[in-house]
Amino acid sequence: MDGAPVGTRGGIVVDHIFLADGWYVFEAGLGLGDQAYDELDISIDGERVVLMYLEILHTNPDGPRWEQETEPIFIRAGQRRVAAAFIRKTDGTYDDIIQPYGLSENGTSYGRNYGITLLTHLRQMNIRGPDNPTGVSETVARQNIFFCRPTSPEQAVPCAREILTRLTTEAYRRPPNERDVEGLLGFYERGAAEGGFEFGIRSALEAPCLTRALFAAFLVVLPGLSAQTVTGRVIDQSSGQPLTSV
Amino acid sequence: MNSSEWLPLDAYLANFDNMAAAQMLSATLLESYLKAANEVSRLAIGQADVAGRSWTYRSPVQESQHA
Repeated sequence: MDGAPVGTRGGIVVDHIFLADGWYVFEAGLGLGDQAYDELDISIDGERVVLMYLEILHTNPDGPRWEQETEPIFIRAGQRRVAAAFIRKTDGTYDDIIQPYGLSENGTSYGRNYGITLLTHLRQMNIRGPDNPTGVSETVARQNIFFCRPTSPEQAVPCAREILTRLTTEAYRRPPNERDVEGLLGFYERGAAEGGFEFGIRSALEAPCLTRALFAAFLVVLPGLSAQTVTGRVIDQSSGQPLTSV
Repeated sequence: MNSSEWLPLDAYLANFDNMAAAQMLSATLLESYLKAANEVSRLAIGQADVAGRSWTYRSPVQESQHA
């Protein structure tokens, strides 16, 4: 599996955004296979955080344990690559009577039937949390947004103006005019009054959702945002008409 | 991040999907944009007091789990 550690097979690899530092639980939804035991490696950004020893079939009197979860694991905020993959224990093909296409689940039967061998599959992975969040660490996205920080109340609005000017310059691909920035500052001030500086900036970044800024702005600040988002149905702030592109 | 989680594809006009005249804004679409904006800004900045929730990622059935 692309993105999974060397020496593993199958599994799921995703880029997941953790909203806060805190404790997260990973739950594996298993399927197929006729193995009594297996091992599932869970790694974050290429580093193993837990190796789940899966007792699937024989030790549970209530039947196979298709859902198994980790203990809570502490993870810092930000976009991280999560890989859950089985430890590879054998190589080569199986000399079976029946072999499903590509050894996938698109087969004619389940793995425990006669004439077919399938290894344990990871059907789905749930990421649950955070429990007891402890804050938000610096992330790439946050560093790209908060390149200035107010150290006094008087600096808050000028800092917000600087942040919004810079982001909209990149998003609009032109210097914003006074109306662009003033409009967003209004959203900032309402947000800041409710939840402080960061919430104000967040409110201001939400506001351009019907202007040419929304996804283009986040294309700049969020790694991994698809370019497909920067298309058609966005509305020009001044004319109220849809734009063909941004 | 996949915008199709929140937003539908652009409408086609003469087989082009980037024609402004074909892009109408309904109340439902506006709500989708607002929801997307809220979620994307939250993902970008993070949220220290976020309530715990669950995300599910499914493996496509055609994907080999042997390789």
